[in-house]
Amino acid sequence: MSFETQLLQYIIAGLTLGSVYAIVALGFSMVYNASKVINFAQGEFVMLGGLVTIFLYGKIHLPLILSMMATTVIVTFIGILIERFTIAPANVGGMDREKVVVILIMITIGVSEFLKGGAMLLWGKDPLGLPTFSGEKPIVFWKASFNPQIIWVVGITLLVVILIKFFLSHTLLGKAMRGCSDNQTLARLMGIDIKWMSMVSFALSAASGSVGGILITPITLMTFDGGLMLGLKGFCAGVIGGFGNVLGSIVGGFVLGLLESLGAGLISSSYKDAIAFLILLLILRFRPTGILGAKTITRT
Amino acid sequence: MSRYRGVLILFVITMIFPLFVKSHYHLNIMIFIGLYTILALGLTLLLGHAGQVSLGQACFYGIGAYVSGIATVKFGMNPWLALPIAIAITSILAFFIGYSTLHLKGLYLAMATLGVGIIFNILFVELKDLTGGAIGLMDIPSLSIGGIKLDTDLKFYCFVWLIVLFIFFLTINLVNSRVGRGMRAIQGNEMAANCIGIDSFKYKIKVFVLSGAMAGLSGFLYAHFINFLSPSVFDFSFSILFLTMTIVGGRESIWGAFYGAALLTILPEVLRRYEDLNVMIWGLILVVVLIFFNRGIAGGLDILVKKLESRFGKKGEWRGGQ
Amino acid sequence: MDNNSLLIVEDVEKIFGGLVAINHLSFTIDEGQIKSIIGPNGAGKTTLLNLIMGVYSPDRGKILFDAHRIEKLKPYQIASFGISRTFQTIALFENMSVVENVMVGRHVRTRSEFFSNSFLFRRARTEENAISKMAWEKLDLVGLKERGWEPAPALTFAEQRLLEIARALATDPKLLLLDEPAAGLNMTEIKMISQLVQKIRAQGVTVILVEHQMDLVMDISDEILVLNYGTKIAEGKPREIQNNPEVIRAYLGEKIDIAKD
Repeated sequence: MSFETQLLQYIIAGLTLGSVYAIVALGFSMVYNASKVINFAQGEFVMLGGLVTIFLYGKIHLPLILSMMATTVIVTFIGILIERFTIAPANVGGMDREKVVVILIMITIGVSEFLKGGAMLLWGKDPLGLPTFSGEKPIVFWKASFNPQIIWVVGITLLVVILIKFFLSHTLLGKAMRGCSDNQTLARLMGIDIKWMSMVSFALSAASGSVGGILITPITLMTFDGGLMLGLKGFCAGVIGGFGNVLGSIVGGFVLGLLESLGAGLISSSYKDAIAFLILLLILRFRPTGILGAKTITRT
Repeated sequence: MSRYRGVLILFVITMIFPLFVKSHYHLNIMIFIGLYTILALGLTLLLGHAGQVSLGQACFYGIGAYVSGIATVKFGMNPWLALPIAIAITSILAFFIGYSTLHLKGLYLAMATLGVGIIFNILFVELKDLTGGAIGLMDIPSLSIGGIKLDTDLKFYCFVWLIVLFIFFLTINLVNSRVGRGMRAIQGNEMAANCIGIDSFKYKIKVFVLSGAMAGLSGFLYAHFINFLSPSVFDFSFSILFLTMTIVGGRESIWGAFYGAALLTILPEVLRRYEDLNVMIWGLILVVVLIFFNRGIAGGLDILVKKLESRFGKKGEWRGGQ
Repeated sequence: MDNNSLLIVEDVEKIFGGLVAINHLSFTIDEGQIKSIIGPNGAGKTTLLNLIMGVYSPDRGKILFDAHRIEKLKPYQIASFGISRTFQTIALFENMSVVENVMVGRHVRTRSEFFSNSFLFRRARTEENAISKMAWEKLDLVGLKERGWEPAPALTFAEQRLLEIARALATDPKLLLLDEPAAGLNMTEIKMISQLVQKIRAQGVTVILVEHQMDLVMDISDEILVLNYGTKIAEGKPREIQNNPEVIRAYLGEKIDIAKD
């Protein structure tokens, strides 16, 4: 295989991976914007997206499309439950905002462990898969062959991003969410119900996360603990692109995916996982606002 | 000196314990409780006193263990010489991380420690020549003090617990001092603390370095106890475990470190049968404690004691941080 | 420039977003004075205190304290120079007891660190005794000695204000900034504050008092500075201020009221 072809393979793989990171980062952004919470369970939505679909399709034998749609609904519902039962109750009390956030982060870590443990019980430790959406025959493009699923991944990710962007800019609910992220106190004064926003953001991020899981599972398979790394790396992607920024999530996701893929292919594949976190540290050190610049991160 | 009451009680309990319990299994558990208490103490100071979250304590634990392990196995160094090196390295690393992130929102320290932790975990696996990789580093020598080799459970048990008790002594002194008040002031109201003359940035860095050093010490002891290291003991889930210990035990109280370490070391043993449920239960405990029992076990005991005190009419001196 | 001036604020400006919070403000404070700063809500009084304390730094201008330039310093540095403050909304350390709150105030004048405190070196122990003694003295001064060992949140509102003052005094300040200490207090309590502030001044501490309570202000101030929209509109002795039409207009809008005698 010529070098150019290899490079192309890496790039394509990077874009694929980047899509999932972008979706996860998007989920982080939305929740963070609405409630200042970093939802460490974000990766678990992706994991559940994959595994629940496998269950519905593989065990209950629902048609694939129906499984996928039902899964998205189920995972969205789980997201709402999480928000209602763990975030909302912890949010009360006249505590300093920043201290509450620390507690909330730890709660989401607990939730993530809980979901992970539950998944292990229900699905076991082996990786499980889904069929690709449009068959197995690889597409050849400039001598690089790749799995057609990739088009689905990137395509639907972009679709999800566009839908969410549209939602945030053009619907009343979406604009309310943006208002929340800009200035919570002001939003409250304007009559926007912060609690409702928090719930909606969780629902959206759960939904998009599960879509990401559904998309990626046919390619990479899914395990009960797959959510952890995806979540963490998706978080890195968010920070890289500019935390809290919708466009930043996308940029960060693709940038991270590409860098990780190229790094793994060209430099070393055993350090692949380290790449994301190394970039995270570099960004935190030299440009904490991320590529596209996030909102308030420093204290006065 | 009523402030040392707890240490004395613990001293008596731990020294009497092996007279009644001789099994290796139980001594082992107690040793681990001791090791984890040291680590959790550092984390309690960081989390409960300075209000910062670290998601990478397992990393410092691992560095302390591997630095000494490698120095003694690969370079034939005397472990007592490796100890200050291990502590120095963890401290310097913690300083770097703290200096870079502690002037930003608390979230950033959490993220940086997460990233560093994962990177080091990968390094532990990949730098096979040094660390033995996933197979592990073997034949780490036991410690000797003045000719006595600490190669049995009983000897190591006494050694560890004397260290733990000494560290408790030091920590109690620290918490009741100007420094302890300074940290609690930052936790209470950082802006006011600054206006009163406390350099909160410098304090946070110091506490973070201290927590890293304590975790490193714990790792050092671990390496020379088990005489074998495997990278899987130092991954992200252990960082979460340590965090859980601190929170469940009660992060605002230094005794919380002991309660949390004890509970979360004993619990998985008790639930051996249900080993598969382990992870789920962690998560559940963590969430429930955070929502409903914010002050953890120590807080609960505190409330109980206060109720008893008021029932019997004794008005105690109230100090923060106990 | 007066040799006695403890604090010199020179042409200070502070803008937030598009809003001019402090507008070319200049004034001085002499040692041993009680100077009050008054003005309608939003006039920038607390912002001014924050600027002096280093919580904000001015966009333009100088602040000199004891001949040192302090406008670019951080709050903890300014505290060590000898300025301390209380807060409009109580900012006590709720996780500590009453006496511990005051002991924290002593922080800036003491030095023992992690090592000497953990190992109980003599230096640390001596210092701790001194801190304790001084803290109880300050509590005695404000009248809270009996409540020393209770948790700070257990105090009444007025007592909490006193505690904040005790804590600020523990830093051994040359200049004390009081931000609306009388807010929310009843007449008896305000009287207590008034006496306390005078006692403090008698001990050699210069005081800046930001207040709305006009009786208190007129009673104890040597000089009054009036701000409106971040600008100085009047400065002088209480009598002069009382009768100043600009001041009256600023507070009451265009309605002219008959000044109190």
